Amino acid sequence: MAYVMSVDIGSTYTKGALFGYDENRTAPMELLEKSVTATTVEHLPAGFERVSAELMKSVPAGASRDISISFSSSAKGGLAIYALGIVPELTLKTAKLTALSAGGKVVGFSSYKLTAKDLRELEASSPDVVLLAGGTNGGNESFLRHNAKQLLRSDYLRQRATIVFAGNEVLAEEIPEELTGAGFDVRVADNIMPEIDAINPQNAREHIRDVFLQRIVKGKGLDVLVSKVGKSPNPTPYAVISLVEAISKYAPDFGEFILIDLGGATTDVYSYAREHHGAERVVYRGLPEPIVKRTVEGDLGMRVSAHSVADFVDEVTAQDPEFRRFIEIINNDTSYLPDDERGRAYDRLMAQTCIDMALQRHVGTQKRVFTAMGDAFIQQGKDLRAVSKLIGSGGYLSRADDFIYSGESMAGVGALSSGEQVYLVPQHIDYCRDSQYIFPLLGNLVDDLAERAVLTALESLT
Amino acid sequence: MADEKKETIVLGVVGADCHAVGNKILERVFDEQGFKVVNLGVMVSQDEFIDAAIETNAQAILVSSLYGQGELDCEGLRERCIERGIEDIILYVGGNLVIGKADYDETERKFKAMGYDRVFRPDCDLIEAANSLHQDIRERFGEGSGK
Ligand code: B12
Repeated sequence: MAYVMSVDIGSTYTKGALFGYDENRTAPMELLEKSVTATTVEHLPAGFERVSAELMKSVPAGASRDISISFSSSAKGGLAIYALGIVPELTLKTAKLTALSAGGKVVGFSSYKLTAKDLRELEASSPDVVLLAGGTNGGNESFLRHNAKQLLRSDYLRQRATIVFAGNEVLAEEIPEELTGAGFDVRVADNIMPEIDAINPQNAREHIRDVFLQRIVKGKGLDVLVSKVGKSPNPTPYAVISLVEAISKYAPDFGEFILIDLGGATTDVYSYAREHHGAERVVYRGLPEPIVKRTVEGDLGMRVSAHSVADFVDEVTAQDPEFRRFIEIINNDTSYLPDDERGRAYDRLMAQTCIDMALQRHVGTQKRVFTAMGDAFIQQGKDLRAVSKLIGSGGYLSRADDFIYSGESMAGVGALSSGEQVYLVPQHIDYCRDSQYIFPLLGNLVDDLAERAVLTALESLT
Repeated sequence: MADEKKETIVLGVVGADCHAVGNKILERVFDEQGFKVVNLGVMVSQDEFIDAAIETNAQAILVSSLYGQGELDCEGLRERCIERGIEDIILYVGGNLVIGKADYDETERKFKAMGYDRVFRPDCDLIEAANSLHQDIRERFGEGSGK
């Protein structure tokens, strides 16, 4: 038996797991032990050591102590990225998607020409990275030049941020050289939209991940860990995306699916699904979307975001004084766990509301248009109506064996009445849970043990 | 990188119009005549034409309308171009622009007043149209203005 350890340094908790596996057989790994401790915010290695020491105890005597460790970190909730594009529906949208698929969080964005006011807002959003996009290859140059000139004026950016250039390749030397010459930290990536209907986030995504390593690792003692473990950490969402991609590759029979990671402050939605289903009389509009897509909702979560979630529940509940008291309680004590059935019912309602809203924002839409030939439909984004598998993950969903997401509350937004826009949400849902809360941890193992990580993940679903 | 010197044009059929055959022919002919063609296909909105023109730095937009609602669908495109910073882009329009066989001169006058630089009938000579486009681009943007 061989052993492998995975640790995730989250903003609140540092979690780890020890797995054992047979080197000669590709089969699900055995989850031997889990451990969790509060994240030691000032010096991250302390919590990490506590967890790994705890896990070590489960390695049988006689087995080698030299165990490979992979780890991830959601330091600061991920890398703060400011996205810059030209047309909102084209390069700006691609820039946002790229930032999210790199495991970052989008703290601000702007399109067309960056104004002095935009620049002040950009600085106020304290980005680690500015993703500078715009123009197809050989396409627009003027907006990109203007925006680069504006960035040059910012001392904040010169001292504190990295510019990832991912625009029109015609300017891929001129602009970075100018910025570098002025003392900026610059990286040059492939254009994220080389042609109008083709997006290419991969290379920029890797550059952003590198910046994450370089920046995050410097703080809070992570560099100590890196030299000790001999590996760099993944941004936590990047680990989850890796796992989603690996499932699609190594378990094709599992088919298309959605993964929801519901946290205290945010809700992340990952979908593995084709965008189109080639339906008749449907005209596709807008940018193609990646087959593995991630969206993040910063106003939807079980605790820190409770107030904004409360705005989305039905009116009767919203007015109910008991419910409002509950929201106040969890708002003041974000680690509060209800000990009565009423509180648990409110938690279920919160979870359902977060998933409803996050899904609605993640999926594409169809709009009916009347043509002389009869009705046609204009579709933007992903059609997830036929996707039924939905996996719940995160502190609450992994634990909640009394919660099942049925999607019934979404029937309204998925039904077409004439002339309206419908959201292409799943029509039938088979819900299951990452009941051990090991998906992010398994994501860390994809680099070395992809197939085993996938088998383990799928076996752990309940 | 032979593409680099080519003039870029955005092509599409405007509105709820789904006549696709002429669009394919236009793509083919203008490509053969030395343009880099960004073809948006059928059922294209005005803003989609403009979005694509901005990102690709196109010198011209070629609008088709075949189903008789051309006037409705084509009106306002120039104004939107001005608003969005590509005020001097060349606009061509062609197809069955109005219902039935209305007087062509009258149609041409109408569409020019809307800001289209040239207006084409369905039976126009496409090679001639391509030649005039090369010429119009040179005149407006100067020699070698292809990217
Ligand atoms: C095939 C066809 C259809 C097919 C289209 C299939 C498809 N997806 O392509 C279907 C059955 C779906 C259809 C539907 C309709 N059609 Co129809 N259709 C035709 C038909 C018979 C042929 C069109 C064609 O492919 N022509 C061949 C191509 C090569 O020519 P073209 O489209 O004109 O394009 C050339 C030129 O116009 C020019 N050109 C076009 N744009 C531009 C732009 C520039 C800048 C330049 C330089 C040149 C240029 O160059 C093109 C290439 O050579 C024509 C009649 C006809 N003979 O033209 C009617 C016709 C176009 N349809 C017509 C109508 C009314 C309709 C409908 C509204 C009604 C109906 N009852 O069916 C619907 C509209 C649906 C919709 N939402 O768009 C009318 C339009 C009337 C008008 N404008 O006055 C026509 C003219 C028939 C008629 N005489 O009544 N149609």
